Amino acid sequence: MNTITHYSDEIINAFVDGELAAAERRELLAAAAESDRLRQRICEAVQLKELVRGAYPARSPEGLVKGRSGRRGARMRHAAAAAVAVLAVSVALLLPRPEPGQRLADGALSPVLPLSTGEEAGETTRVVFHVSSADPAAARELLDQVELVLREYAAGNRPLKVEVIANNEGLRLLQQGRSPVAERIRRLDQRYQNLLFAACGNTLERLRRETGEQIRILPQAVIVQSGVSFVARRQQEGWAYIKV
Amino acid sequence: MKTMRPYTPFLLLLSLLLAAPLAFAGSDDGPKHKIVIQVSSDDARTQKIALNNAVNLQKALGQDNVAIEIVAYGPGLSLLTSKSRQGKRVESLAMQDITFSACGNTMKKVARKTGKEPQLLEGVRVVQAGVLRIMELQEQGYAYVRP
Repeated sequence: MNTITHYSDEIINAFVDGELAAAERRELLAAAAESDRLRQRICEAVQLKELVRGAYPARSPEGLVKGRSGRRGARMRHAAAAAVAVLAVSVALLLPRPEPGQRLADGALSPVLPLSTGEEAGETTRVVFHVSSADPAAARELLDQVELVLREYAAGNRPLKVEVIANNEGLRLLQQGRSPVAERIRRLDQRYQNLLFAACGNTLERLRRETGEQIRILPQAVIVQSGVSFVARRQQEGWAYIKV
Repeated sequence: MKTMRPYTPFLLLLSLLLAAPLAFAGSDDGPKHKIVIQVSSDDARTQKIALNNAVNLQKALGQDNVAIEIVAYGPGLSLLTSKSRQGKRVESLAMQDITFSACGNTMKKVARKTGKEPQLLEGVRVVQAGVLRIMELQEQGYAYVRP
């Protein structure tokens, strides 16, 4: 399963922290070469790390990452590390001001923050939509559902994360110059920070090989290595799953 | 360190006694298996297979051991309306502990388009939106099946 690559905040943070295996790093870099948005997210993660390190030398960036529940089995938990973390937190608590939470919430930071602080699993509802058909009617139906869910949760002020993964013929929905819903994807992406579109890298490679087409993916989408592994992993992580 | 404190066995026993009801409470909490079946296609065969899946699961696991909910939305709503090709079967399954949920959002859409609200079969209930319902059920531990 270690070949699965998706570019969640967890993975990006692991990359920034130098914790990804060489193969994973290469994959992420390759995908970053394709995606403006991914590059931007990586830059923001680096900035955040620098900022946190600069502001709170006692409280390591590790502590910040560890406090989040999204990271699964990515590393061993050493008792020593835990002790250090406890110590670091106590030191942080003893320091007069500013509180880390306030400082981080200051806004100047980036769109990474709303995704990466606070409510990871637990209260946040997470759902992954999977589309593998190029049918424009199915595409509209898909975006109707995605939008309905986003709107509903936003209206109720409930935390939500939505990912849409396209593979096989569904990839066409994320293809520049071919997607019948490109404009709507752009609008949704702009409007909702908690929405992510992802294209299956295997499909992309296969289509390029088989047809010789120079397929380019919409700038709003990231590329994951395997769409199927991606959704399988999301389900294991407790995400709701909807096949369109 | 070596000698057991005199009250240690008592504490062990006490913790076992306290834990026992918890174990029972776990198994008492509704049916053991929970399954949501998504019907989002108008295809007759797909709709029939969805019902077959429900019946077979109920047979295999025992009616008391499994909660099954069929959620129909989009073009799949046709399974649960008066025009359904499986109408009789849906109504009889609804009486055998299988829950049928029709997407209210889709119904509104149909009503806007055709000028009249689709009529649902006996025993079918309406949920706000099929997708939301499926998400909610999965959050409650329902396994997802899409025929």
